[in-house]
Amino acid sequence: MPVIYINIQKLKKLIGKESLSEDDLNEILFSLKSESKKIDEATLEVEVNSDRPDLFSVEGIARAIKGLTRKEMGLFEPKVKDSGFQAVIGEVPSRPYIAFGIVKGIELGEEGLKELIQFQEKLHVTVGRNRKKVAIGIHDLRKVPSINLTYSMVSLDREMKPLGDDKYMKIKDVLSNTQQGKSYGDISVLGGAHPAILSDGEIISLPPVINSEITRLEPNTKDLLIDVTGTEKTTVLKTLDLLCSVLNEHVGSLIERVEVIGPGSNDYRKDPQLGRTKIRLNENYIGKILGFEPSHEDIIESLLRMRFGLSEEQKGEIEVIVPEYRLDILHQIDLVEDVAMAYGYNRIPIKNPTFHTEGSLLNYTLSGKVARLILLGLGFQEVSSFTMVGEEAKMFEGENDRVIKIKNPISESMSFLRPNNIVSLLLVLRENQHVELPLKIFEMGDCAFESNGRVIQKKTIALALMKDELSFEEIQALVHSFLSSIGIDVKYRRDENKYFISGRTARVIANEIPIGILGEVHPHVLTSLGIKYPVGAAEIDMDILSKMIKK
Amino acid sequence: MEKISLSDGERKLLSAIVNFPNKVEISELSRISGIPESTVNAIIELLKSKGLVREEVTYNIILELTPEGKKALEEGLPEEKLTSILLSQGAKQISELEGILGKKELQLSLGAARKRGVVDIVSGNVVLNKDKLTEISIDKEVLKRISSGKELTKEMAERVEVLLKRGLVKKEIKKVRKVEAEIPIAKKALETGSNVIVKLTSRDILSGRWKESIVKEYNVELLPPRVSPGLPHFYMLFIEKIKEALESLGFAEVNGPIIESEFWNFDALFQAQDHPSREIHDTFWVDLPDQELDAKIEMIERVKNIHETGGTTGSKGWRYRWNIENAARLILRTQMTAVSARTLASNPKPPFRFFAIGKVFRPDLIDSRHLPEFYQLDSILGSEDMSFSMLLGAIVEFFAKMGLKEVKFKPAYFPFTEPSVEGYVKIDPLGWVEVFGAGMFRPEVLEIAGISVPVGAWGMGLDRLAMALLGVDDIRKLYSKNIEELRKQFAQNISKLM
Repeated sequence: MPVIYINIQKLKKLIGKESLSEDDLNEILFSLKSESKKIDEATLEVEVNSDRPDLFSVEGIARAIKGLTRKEMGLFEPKVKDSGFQAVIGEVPSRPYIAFGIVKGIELGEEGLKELIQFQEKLHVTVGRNRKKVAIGIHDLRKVPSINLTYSMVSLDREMKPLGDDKYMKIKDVLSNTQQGKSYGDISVLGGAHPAILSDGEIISLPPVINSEITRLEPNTKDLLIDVTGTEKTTVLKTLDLLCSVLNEHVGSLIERVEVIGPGSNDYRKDPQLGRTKIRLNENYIGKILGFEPSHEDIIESLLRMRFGLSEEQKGEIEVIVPEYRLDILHQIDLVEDVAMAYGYNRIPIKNPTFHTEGSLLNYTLSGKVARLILLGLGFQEVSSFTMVGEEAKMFEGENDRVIKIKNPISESMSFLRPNNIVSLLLVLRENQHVELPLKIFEMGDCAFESNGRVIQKKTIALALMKDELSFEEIQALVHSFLSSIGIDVKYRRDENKYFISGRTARVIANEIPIGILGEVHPHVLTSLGIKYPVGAAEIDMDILSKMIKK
Repeated sequence: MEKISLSDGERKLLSAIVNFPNKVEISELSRISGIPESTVNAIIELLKSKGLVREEVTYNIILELTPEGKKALEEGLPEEKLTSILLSQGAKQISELEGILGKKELQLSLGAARKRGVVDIVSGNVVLNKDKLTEISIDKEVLKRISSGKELTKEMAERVEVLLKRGLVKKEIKKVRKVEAEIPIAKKALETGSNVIVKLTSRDILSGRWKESIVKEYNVELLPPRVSPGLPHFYMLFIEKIKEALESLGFAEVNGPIIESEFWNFDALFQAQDHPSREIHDTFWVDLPDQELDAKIEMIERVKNIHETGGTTGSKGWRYRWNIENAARLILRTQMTAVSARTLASNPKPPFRFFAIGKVFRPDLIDSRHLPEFYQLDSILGSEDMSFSMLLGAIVEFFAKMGLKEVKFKPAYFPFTEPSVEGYVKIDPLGWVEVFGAGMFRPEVLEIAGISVPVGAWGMGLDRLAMALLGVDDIRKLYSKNIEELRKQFAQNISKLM
């Protein structure tokens, strides 16, 4: 969940409520799915959810709070006019969509500049899918060379002055030498060219990589040119709408539209469109989903407090106007949640479930209980280990099988899946060599391996016995006792494998079906793991065993 | 005289001592009787206290060879090397000998040889006195006799001081303990003494010997030796308790694979393929070839349509190109809701309640609150009249069964539910602990699965709940390899687990 830092004074100023207590603030943010914490006198740390990108900014949060506290309800009305700026869009196959918007009259300051960049970065990571789907560039409007902008592919040999540098350099060098170039340079580069936004022949932005130093934002910047580029049209347009609308929360600010022309001869728009959708919300639907019927008045008030607009109400259906910055409203179900949030989750009358169903446990669980009972009686201590293990897994590969490797492990000791549970038991025994011997342990759990290209996943129960001096019969007697106690007829057949001593390995046959393996662990395995004492071990397939127990 | 009682051990040893005409050494007694020396010592003390034997302690000085002495006996005394050089090559300059033997060795040999008059030094020359060579052989004889424990003649005994100084021999003071029976009292005790039984045997019982014997009194207040039982794992018991609670509330247990396709873990739950949580930081990928999707073609079609344009649900969908190859990729499941997705797709007949408990995997660095694999619960409830308030009611019902009466709800976000809720439960002494997430499955999810009734879902990370309820402060302790730690946790939590 994204975490942002906002200036408390600024928030209070935007809300217009100097006397909002910290507790009230926490409670309101709580009902907006957020958690907040004051980290110093001036700063509030807020954990927000990725379904509400408008709340990644202090302006968006202020707008939401004004609604919930009834200070300002219903739709926010953006102030918009034409700017006179014009953008001509060319063919940019690797990043085809772009939208432009202008917001003027923002008093940024140091704090505001930091928060604006924070807003931009959080949007990049979430909505932007790490800039692949959408990327945002924000420019100081006063520094843009001309009112005419173009967007096209330019050669990698073309020069620009990247943000943070005072020299011109070739785009190919920007991509290979700057931090942003290295992180994002691969996304939209294509055939020796890269998308770029130009004004009066100067490159002012190289989306999604980096802006130009020419249009750099300063704390005293008042007017912003915003560009949003990406690979999905609707998301690009909506992200621009979101940014412009949210920033317009500043008193005295103004959104100015940019004419966007091309690439097709019929393509013409004015950005931002600030388009609002209408969704029909059925009051019966609300009642069905929530399980109780809030009154018509409560529903209306909740919608208004959540800053929605209403266009029609008739016969239990409300036509709700969804503001331009609510990217999360896909279906009327999303409105139902907002109604419940404003109503207050802890006010919702709780209903006891009205339907009866029969409970049951899986065979595996029931057999596990039986197995545990018997093994405890034989003196085995239960353990529970990780399914992920280290390189030691390879010692336990079957003849034609392969251990399964994790491509992105967090550590070497957890880079494979255990192919059996015996390996985990040995790892436990290794840590308990100081304990009084003999030591008997068991574990029930999952293991997996690859066999002829197929993934085999099993649930097994493994036992191990560690002693000063061990004989095969001792571990065999325990396995025999365990299975016989369940009423299973057990036989043994000589077998071979990589980790048991040859001549001390047996396949366990239960009621004529091969159900497991048993043997003395080979000294090369013990030495490799640092175990000083001999160990006898066995592993039984729980899927097969639980079917037998059921019968 | 009062009848003296003898245990079997005392009787055996006393008989052995009585048979010796003279004092017998304790180590000899142990050898003859076959009883270990420490036990013999203990029995002697008992016999002494009953006045049946008396003990004599003497201290003997024993001579022994040091390691150097042993070496000298095997390889020759240092001065022998010198004399053999002089014998074969005649007199030599000291400097020359230094070159052959080394300064240190020469010093040792010269010193020893001169003392016995075997060599003389004449103006820097070392000269051998052949008739004194016997001195060296006598020294060697002394070493030999000491080594074999033979007696030394008076003349040899005088040489011992020098050998002691040379570090070839050492003196040891040995304590010698001898015992002797007090006749006639010992003989009488053997004839007439009563039997004391230390360990009752079947023979004692069957032969009737128990009637004439006394059973020795034990100090029953001493602590016994440790015996460790096999114990269940405290966390596994906790999980079983949760399963039983859910069963009693009408939930049927289901399960699914830990290696899962992205299809069931994400796509079937309407989570977009370009969602950040499907990336390398938040999901474990496995090195396996893609397997064929185990889902019906119709369902795969529905997933594609609904992701791209919302299908027929009235939703807008995510508006991107859905790719079946991405869905077929294999990962370690990140949530038990993957199992719920499978359950929904199996077309259960409403009303239904299902739950699944198993391991889920997320690339989290290990610390006291995070692990890359942990247990999670997911449960679903579906019925004609299922609703959000009923879901909240089901959750309250479950926690009441666990003995937790206070629950607090907070709006939340999950990609596959709407409305969504997060919840806190009051657990003493911690206060409010965040333990669960829940919500009504989105219409898109239900349409993907082909389900026509509302379905609520709620899930919990069981590790967090267990830690709060069982007073465990570090998540790693739930998977501890330390057996003593496991036994301790079991003991501390018995009342909560049984």
